[in-house]
Amino acid sequence: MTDNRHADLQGRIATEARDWLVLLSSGSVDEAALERFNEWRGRSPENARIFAREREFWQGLQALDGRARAVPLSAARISRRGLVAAGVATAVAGATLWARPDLLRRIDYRTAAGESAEVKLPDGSLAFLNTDTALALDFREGVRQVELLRGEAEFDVEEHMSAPFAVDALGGRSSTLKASFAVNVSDDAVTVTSVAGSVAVTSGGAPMLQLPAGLQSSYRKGRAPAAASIVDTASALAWRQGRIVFDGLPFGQAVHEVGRYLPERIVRATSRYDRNPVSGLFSTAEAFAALAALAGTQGLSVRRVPGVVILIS
Amino acid sequence: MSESRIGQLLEAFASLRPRMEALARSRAGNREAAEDLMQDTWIKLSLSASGAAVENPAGFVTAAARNTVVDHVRKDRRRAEIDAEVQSLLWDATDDISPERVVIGREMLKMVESALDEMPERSRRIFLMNRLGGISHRQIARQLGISEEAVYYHIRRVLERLAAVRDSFGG
Repeated sequence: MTDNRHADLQGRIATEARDWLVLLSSGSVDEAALERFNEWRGRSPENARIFAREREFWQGLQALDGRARAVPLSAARISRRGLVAAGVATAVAGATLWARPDLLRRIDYRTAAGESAEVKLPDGSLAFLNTDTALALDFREGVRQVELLRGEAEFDVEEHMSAPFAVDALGGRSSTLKASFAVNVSDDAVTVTSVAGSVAVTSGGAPMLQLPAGLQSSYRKGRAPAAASIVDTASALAWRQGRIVFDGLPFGQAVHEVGRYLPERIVRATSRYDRNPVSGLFSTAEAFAALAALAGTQGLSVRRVPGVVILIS
Repeated sequence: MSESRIGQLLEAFASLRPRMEALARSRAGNREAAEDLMQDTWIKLSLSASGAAVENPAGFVTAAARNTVVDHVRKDRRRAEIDAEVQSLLWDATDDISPERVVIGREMLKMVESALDEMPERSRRIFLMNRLGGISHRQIARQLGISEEAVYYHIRRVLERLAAVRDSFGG
């Protein structure tokens, strides 16, 4: 009897906790609602405990990530005319790219910070664009060429006897007849990861480097590709499942990596902890929470002015 | 005479507007907000226009603009603080960086997935848009042409069902 009543009470609190979770995730919580929530949660240790449990379940539902693909992503196709207007809104995110009108004019596909997109190319091959990525296409008779202007993409290449498929970045080229591979371009370096099949990488006039599946190489502008190294492709391409995986990555690099998924500029008060290794598995959809958790491991705190800046101090 | 007062204010407002708007832009951070703030300022001025003529219209108008901008910046900051607090209430992983803690076991995930599959298409879609797409209730409502209450209802309904599955699983 008492047990039953206890279970009833717990069930009622759990229902209320879920009410709050959905409300807090609505994107329009005002001061009064926040106060009511804090009052509710502070009313009893039981409320706080059950809220924490329900929150864990809510967080854990991130595992349904694969389902996200069933939901139409925001269209990545941007008309060249529309792009100028779009550029104003995302100027913060794409500072270096937007400063290059020559590149800007050529973009065919683009994702903003935190977005991803799947694009079917004219030859039937697929391109998966990670956050803050821009592609220009050149598809003609006998030519299958993509230029990666910014960001990161994985290509799932269909075989066509008529032409190899090439991805250009920073003056170098990765080409294949049939393969799955990812290319990542940062300010000064390109990284190529072969997932299936084989990819040929050329840069700086050096002899062609063959990359079989499971190997990675990188090159700087005008330089020869580095010797191939073995890579855990599941971790390297975790972003395809909406995840970011770090295994002993220096803190400074990890912050940079997570920052790619956020539109804000990240400002750091100190570089003292940059070399400390960090590990973790995060969701790209919760990049800000990931950043806060990473900062927390170094005893740092994070403040955010949405859309403008994130301060780590 | 209200005629002359509103005429005074309008004249002062028109001539000061570029400078006030530039100031508003530097404080509010963007052009759209600055334009809105100038609108608000003018609305306030026109509502005050029934009094006697003011001695220093330029000072009056400038003060009204400054108050509007300061108030906006304060609200904006408070808004950011509320957002930050809500985010930490929802996502702060206590002191534990390991996300394994919040990953649902494979078997339970399967059950939760099939329960989700059995939900009406509209509810499922709205739930995924919010929970995985991070899209706000308001945006979903606008996109689907339904009320925010309806969005809340769909998400709430799905979460209730999934929690029931978890509970029956012995969680």
